Amino acid sequence: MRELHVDSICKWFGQTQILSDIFLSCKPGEIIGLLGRNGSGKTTLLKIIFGAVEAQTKFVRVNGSVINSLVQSKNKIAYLPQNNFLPSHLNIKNAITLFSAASTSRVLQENHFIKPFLNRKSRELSGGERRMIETLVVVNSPAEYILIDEPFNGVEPLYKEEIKKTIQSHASDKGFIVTDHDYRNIVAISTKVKLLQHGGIKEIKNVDDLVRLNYLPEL
Amino acid sequence: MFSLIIAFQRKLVIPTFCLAVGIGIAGYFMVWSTPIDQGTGFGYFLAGPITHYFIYELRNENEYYFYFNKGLSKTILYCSTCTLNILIGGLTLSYA
Repeated sequence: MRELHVDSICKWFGQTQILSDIFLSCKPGEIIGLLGRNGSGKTTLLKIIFGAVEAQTKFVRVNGSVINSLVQSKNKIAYLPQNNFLPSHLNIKNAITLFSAASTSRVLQENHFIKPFLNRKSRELSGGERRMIETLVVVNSPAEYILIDEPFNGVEPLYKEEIKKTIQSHASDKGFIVTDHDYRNIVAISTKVKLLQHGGIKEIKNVDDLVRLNYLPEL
Repeated sequence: MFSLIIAFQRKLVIPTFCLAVGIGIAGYFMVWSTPIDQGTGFGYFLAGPITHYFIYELRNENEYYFYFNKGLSKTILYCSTCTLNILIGGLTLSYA
């Protein structure tokens, strides 16, 4: 069965439990919007699923194969971290060539938002420009499940639209878990919205639920 | 994978060289009075992991995720640094 299945994730930092027996599943075609207040454990959860952070307990299975390490998640799960991750000493063209398959690399290099920056090093770009490029690169990666941490952070409206369009265009054959504080854009693109609160995950049906659960202020 | 490791190591080449030569010079003038080229050879054994730690762990920790996404773990990247610098250090010592 094609599915990213995440189960029994418990994470403690010292005496504080951040994640308590988390269950999450994502199928190709789904975009799961993961919301939560600062410090609720969204980033930690994504890093645990990806394999970059250890948890006290965890079970991650991709299309029937259990994933226990970063090496095993290669080409199965891709992760866009919260902060810029393109190597600052490489120009964008080289970074794209290294990261992507040849056919995808050509598509990305032809993208009219990326093209102007191809010969510049990532450290020469603004934070928003880097964020846009990184998001498009990760979304186009060969992995079937994509974890995206704050893709809209510091990004201008035109780039936000391009990011949303790209995620939605890949959603037919990939599963996405996207987290951001820009809840309007998250709600707009997600097929399911979940709220991470007090270490657990709650299903969100509409924006009123976000108010009721104290994620949004009462209007 | 090889091209990714080359890209990862490119960032370390100049700092590692400078630190290894620094260790060689320090060894000659301050501690062991060994020839600078020999000290530099030994310096590479230390300089590689040290620059790796400072540049990637402390200054650019997020860049690890670029390589993680391609299946390269920290263990593999540290092993590549150690192997490369043992090789360069060994070659330097053999010509010294």
